[in-house]
Amino acid sequence: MHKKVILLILVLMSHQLLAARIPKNWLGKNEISRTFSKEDNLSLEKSYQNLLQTQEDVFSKAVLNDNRNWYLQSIFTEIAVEAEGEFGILAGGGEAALEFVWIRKAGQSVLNTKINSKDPIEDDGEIPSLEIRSEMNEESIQREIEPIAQIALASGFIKNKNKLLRNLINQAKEFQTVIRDIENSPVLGPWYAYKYQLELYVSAEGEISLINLGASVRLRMEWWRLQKIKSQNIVSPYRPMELSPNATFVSHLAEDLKVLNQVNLENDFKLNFMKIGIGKTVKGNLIIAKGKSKIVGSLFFRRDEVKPEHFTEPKLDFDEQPYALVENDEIVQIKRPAMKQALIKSSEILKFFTNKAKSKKDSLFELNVIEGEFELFTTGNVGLVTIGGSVGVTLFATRNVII
Amino acid sequence: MNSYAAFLNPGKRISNLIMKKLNRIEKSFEDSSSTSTPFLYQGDDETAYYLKRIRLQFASSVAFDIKIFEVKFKPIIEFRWNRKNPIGWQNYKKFH
Repeated sequence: MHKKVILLILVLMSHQLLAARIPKNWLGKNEISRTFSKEDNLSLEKSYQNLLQTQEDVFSKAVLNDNRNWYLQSIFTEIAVEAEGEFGILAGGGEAALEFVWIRKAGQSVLNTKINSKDPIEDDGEIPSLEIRSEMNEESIQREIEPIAQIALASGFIKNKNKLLRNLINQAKEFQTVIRDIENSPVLGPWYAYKYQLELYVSAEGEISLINLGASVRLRMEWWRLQKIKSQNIVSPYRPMELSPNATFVSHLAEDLKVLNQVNLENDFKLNFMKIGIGKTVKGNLIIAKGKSKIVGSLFFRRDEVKPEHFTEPKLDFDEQPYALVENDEIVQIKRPAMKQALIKSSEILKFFTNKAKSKKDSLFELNVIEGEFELFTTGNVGLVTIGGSVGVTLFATRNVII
Repeated sequence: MNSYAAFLNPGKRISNLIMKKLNRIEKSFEDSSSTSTPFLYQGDDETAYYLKRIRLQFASSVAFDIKIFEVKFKPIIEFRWNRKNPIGWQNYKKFH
């Protein structure tokens, strides 16, 4: 693993900033309305800006030691919304509604060459000596996973490496079956699946779980979609009937994400990334997983900013099949127009937070990523997830970084 | 740094604790580095899925509960390792 980056995540314990409530319709349980009152807006705006200001001030006072081969690259904070809509910094367990990544600015360190806001996030370099083979067999999966089990062991938190290794290999094999279908989904554009993230909680005994059961280490493995450098990646679309159900599922999502193209954010933020938790039915079909208990992984979509002139998007005439969504162990449906509505509302809530997030020119860290976690409802309503809620869709507002 | 100095400078105390953990993990990477790491899945000749990033997050331990800058912080630490792409391959993009 050639590039090492350290993130120091600070969960603030102060309750002084818990001063405002988010508008009720942002909780998504009852109303679909996307508007909220001026009074609500002013109160939340004041509290939110106070919160950003406090974080920026605190981080600017950090004493950083750059004389090492590792460095503090970013700081991560989480904001929670309580059941009644109270808004503040996450102090304990539960789902965060907003996650902020503050990345150290270039020019603020003696390690200017290392700290480039674009560099730590996406690295397109190559490993010349790496051997390429086709699909991995069990033995090569084990070789791939072995270092991960090893670092978990080295962390001092994990005691049973062999059990962990076995469990991780099983998860990787499961992932292989998922991407076999995803890989066959045609990229019609502008949105497409670009990586798959497996998030696991590992106990000291090497057991793995999809949810945090207390004292555990969170391990995330990201498989990125790559392509050959000289490949012609604008491929002719398949005919809809030639696609597998899972390829259709991915293509539907990519198509529905187009509704976000009309959203413009301020302060140089872009809305170019989205994450959705996916689960599987008994037959192996992909479904949207609300919450973590039934999730098999998260699929990330992105949108390229540069588009060639005179490019016409290919289009497939799909049936308007609803998505299946797993909620409280039951499979329910969410219709595609409702899903689009949910995406638009989510983006408008996120827009509030990006439009107030100006950064000071002389600060040490800059807020580069605002991650909005939303709970989906089958009516098409959506709201910021509350502490005890279940995340369905995550939207990322980013500036100057690829996540 | 002696323990009294660390007490006076909690930022350095955290740094030292992180460094100790990081060194152990880095060592394990060195021990298990390999030049033969294939794709987990290769769909066709043009695209593939590749394990590119590992993130490891530790819940804070009592030792990390510390006061800095007059605000009480409870740090959770996440290490990220990125791996470069194999030769001849790049991150997937629709348009290049």
